[in-house]
Amino acid sequence: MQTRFFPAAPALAGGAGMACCQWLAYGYAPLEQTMGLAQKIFYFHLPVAWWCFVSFFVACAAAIAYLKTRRPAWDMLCAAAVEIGMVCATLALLTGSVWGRHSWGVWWTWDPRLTTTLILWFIYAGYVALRAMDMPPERRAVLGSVVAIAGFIDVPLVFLSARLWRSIHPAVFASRGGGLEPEMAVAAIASVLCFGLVWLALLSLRYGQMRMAARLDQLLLKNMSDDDLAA
Amino acid sequence: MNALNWLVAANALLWLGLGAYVAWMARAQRHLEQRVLRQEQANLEHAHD
Repeated sequence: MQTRFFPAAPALAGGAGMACCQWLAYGYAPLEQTMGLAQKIFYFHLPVAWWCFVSFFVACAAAIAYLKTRRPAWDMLCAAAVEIGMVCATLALLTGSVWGRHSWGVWWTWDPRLTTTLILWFIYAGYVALRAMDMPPERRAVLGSVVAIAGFIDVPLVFLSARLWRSIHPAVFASRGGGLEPEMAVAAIASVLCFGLVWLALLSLRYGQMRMAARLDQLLLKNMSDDDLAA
Repeated sequence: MNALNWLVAANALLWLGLGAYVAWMARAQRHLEQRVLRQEQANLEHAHD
């Protein structure tokens, strides 16, 4: 069973890309009129938030595939995607909190965007807790898949919350074309794309580790069954 | 704190957080590889016995 995945290429490309994006964010994109320098948090807050949604989408798709096929590889992909999604969601909440402290004067407010994001975080934290529980692997995989699919319902709510309800969170990509200058849009899109490479590397690495852990379980089982036969 | 300090703090949070996660994964990877190697060797010795 192949247990090595090679995330070196996307990792290196993503790292180099993010380094270039630092110049785009601080040197190329202009200063925002109202928020000034602090607005530049946007250029890494947006990528982590975006790829958090993508992670949970991948998790949902992998969970559906697992429930249809019952192949463990899909369950492992789901688990890896949820974990990366949780890392991204945590970073999005933290960087957003720092930005909010500067812009709104508070670390947290029960704004629709922030609240729905926190709910999303708790749902998938539940998935991570479920994975750590001691139960038969197949049952854990089925329960986890259900949580991953149900939790994804919150993702479009998070995305649309700033538009559907009164929110002080900026709605960047509005129906009227967004509130970004062209240079800002270039920096934002580049950051999202380059962070995507970093995300891909992290996902490949974590998925590879889960497959290696499964390989270890197989070896242990084989050892135990050989002992039983010998006895 | 001025705007620049908040910006640096948010930037540092992000990259330290990601770095910590990658470091944790690297440690887990090393640990797993060692265990797999040990178990493969143990299984091999078992098969020869």
